[in-house]
Amino acid sequence: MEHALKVVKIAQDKDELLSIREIDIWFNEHHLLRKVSMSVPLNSITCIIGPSGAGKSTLLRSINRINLEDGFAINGSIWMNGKNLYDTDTDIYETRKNIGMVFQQPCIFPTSIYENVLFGIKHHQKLSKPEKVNIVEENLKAVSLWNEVKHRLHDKAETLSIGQQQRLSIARTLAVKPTLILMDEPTSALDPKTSLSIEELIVQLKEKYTVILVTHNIDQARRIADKVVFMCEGSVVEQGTCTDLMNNPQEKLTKGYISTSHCDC
Amino acid sequence: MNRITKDKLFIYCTKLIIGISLVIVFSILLFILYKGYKGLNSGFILTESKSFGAEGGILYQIIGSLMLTIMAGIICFPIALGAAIYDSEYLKNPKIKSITSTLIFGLNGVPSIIFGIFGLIFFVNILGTGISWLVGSVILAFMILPTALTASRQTMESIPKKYREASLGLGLTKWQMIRSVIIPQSFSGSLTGLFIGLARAIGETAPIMFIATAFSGVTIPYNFLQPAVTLPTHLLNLAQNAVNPSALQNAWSTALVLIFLVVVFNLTAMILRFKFKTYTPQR
Repeated sequence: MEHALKVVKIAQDKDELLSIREIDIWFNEHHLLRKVSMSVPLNSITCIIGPSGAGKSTLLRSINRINLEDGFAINGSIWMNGKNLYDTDTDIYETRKNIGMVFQQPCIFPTSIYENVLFGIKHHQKLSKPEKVNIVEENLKAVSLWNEVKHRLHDKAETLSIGQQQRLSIARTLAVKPTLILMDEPTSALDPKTSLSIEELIVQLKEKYTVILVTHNIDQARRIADKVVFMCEGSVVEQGTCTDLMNNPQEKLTKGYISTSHCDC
Repeated sequence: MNRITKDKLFIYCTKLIIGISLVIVFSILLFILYKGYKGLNSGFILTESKSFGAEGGILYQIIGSLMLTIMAGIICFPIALGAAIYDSEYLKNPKIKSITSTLIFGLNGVPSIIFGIFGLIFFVNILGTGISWLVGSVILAFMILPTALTASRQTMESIPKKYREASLGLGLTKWQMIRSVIIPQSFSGSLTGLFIGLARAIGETAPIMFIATAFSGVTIPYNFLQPAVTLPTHLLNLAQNAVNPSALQNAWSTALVLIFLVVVFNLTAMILRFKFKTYTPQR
């Protein structure tokens, strides 16, 4: 164990939270990802862009190991904090707890706003009532929802607008104190104004968390990303800092996608 | 005949079919109501039967029927819930899933007398339980198991995948996910299925007549291994003595009470389905 940690400390940069190394993913006979490698810097926003079917969501879901369905197979490794997430001795539930996930559609449980925030954390630790109240307040404030809902915490969460529901989903994710947050097109179901407010929230989050965001929206990536990874047909075509990749793409496919939002791959 | 006429004809045909069904059901109900209400009074409900049912009331038959049915529900519900959880959350092999579904539907199609004969051979003869109302409840529980299990499983499978993923994504174990998402959200659907099954169970005669009931001379069983008297077997007994006008009147009134209880169980199932419908698709 000690030996493994030393090896990883050499292999991972100190400002790098996650390192994906040559992963291939299959679902039954379909080869979905091919030799994908990328690194994710600490306290940054990494945007994965690419056309539909490029494998962005597959890659994202393989990071917190939520795609372990029958027929799923992976080769390669994903390292985080000196640990290969696919090692047989890795605690899958601890991994998922440390790597929060926000989905395309806000996923609100049919219970109160208060209970939604506590939904995950209450399964990980025993909480007294004052602790619960503090967690709810702290995390709703972190997503700028507190002032809007503080007088109706016990109302059904479904009564919130769709943008508020997405904020609540993020608050619930933050409550379990993840290190890394995966976001799978979290604004695609929202109107432009709400979308921008979620973007602002994501930018605020990077002070404390590291974010990987899958998006179709190149302008969104341009606005908030520190690093951009362009994927096409299950492979990483190009990756780099947002400024470099957006202003000076090296690959023809990347240039085409950035200028037209279409990919000829 | 053009398309529009065919379409209209089809609608008329379906209306006619539903109309005929309703007329048949309501005719039977109204006829029993007409025949049965004459003998229905508090004395009939609250006193015990005398002269093999030709006189007196049906108090012990009501209590016996409710005991058998409620115990069948208590036995059936956890088994149905557990089997439905395994089927919807753990059983992934489509071939085995298909085999279990076929077996469950097959069990639903087994004639109720077969359950009675099985109970007689297995419990009464082999295990030597004797005629016992608890054995009757066990057999009724197995008889309604497919209805309760299918309802539970369908409710569980209708819960959108995103709720499972959202809870697993928060680091919950599969059991924590089942406990906090699947069971609470499928509970009312499972109860609905159970009550539909119980509505069938309370009216059954064949599965219990050899193993759980006596036709007369029995009051309330004071332990699990005693027989009970029930409404369906009492009705059967009275119908066999229908030459006696008093017995015939009591038979109609007993039938009316039995139908009332069936309606109560079915209404409970409907109320549960509409009032506690928790998983509506979200925006």
